[in-house]
Amino acid sequence: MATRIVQTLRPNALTIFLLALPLSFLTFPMAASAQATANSPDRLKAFSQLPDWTGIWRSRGAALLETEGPVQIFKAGNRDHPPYNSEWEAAYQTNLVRAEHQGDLSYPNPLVDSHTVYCAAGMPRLVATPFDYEFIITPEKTWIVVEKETRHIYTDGRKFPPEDELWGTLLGRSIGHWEGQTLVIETISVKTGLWGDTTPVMFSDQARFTERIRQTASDTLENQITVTDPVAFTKPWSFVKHYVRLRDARAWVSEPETCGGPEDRNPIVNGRVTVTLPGAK
Amino acid sequence: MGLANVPTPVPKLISIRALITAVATLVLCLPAKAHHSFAGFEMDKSATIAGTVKDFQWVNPHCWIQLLVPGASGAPMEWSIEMSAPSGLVRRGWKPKTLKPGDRIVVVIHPLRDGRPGGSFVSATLADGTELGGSPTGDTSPQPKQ
Repeated sequence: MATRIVQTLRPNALTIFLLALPLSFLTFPMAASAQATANSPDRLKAFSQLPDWTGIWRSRGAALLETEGPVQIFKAGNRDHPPYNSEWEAAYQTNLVRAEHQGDLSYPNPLVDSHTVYCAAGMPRLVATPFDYEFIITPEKTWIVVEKETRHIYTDGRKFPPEDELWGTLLGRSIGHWEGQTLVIETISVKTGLWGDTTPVMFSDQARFTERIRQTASDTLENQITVTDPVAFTKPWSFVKHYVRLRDARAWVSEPETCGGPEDRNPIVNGRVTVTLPGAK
Repeated sequence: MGLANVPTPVPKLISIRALITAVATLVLCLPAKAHHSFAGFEMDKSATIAGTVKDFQWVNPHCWIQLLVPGASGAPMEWSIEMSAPSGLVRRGWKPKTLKPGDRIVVVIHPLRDGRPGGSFVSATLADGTELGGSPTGDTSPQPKQ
């Protein structure tokens, strides 16, 4: 068929162009492939020095503090919390009470969990969620993928952006570096008002989160976290999180938790978390 | 309806093993909630209910069991039991079709504060004796079988 077309067309510039066009698409990938940049020996060496944290990891418990034992959610004074100054401590105690009423239609000023509001954990809560964790490690950057939330940790030696280019976000800005097999992460510019976990542990927008992640056993990662907050704290606050790798190396990551769709039976109505019961009599 | 009005469980469906599992689950309970607060539930109280599955909603952000439970008058009352997200339940051994309409199950819940027939899921015992956890407020660490 193609041969017949060629025979019946006059070989003017237009027909040559039209015939050459598909050929150019066919040959482009080969040309691009030929120009692909190979990993340099230095980069391959850098890769070889990085740990292998492939697989799916799960947080040991889903609270910031693992060792406190059973706790009552939203109950004041029953768990460790940041060393707040007097102003932030007072706000924390008030917020504990407000949080306890976040589904109460008769309470004047409830406080709804930020995870419900944003349908995202943000930092530092993302270090302790009930979701799947994956680590994608390259010499220049590490991605910590927690289902739908992804942390971008630049390990290429860059500094934080200048202050006038920063604004508070759910995950802030993160840079890192490797100290042997330990990934050290610094995170700043996190939006204030986010809950640290199931309690309204909050931080100012000046908080700085330092993490030291290292492998302590074949399927265990340890994350030593220190938070400094010159606005809210009287001293740094430290705690340790652990992650355990799933034994099934071929486990799938499922669809991430999403919120706000028609199947969400816990909408926020008038600033309160509600529970929809279609079967209620 | 308060906890005192929770329908009386069907004794023959509740095994000692199931109760031990439920108690152990509660003891191990750590706050691990997913996308929203569980302040609407009485997290320091639990109730065991037995009934027939009307619907198993395997959806985001949270899965739900619609359970028909015999009420005080004998007529079935529909309970809504909120679970965690599918991605979390998968790690605890659940599948989209683990429950089918008509299945008889026993479920431990934290009841709703406002007395409506609903609760936050703690654990379930299926008709064949299989026990499954996956509380939205419970420990989500990997299980030994994974």
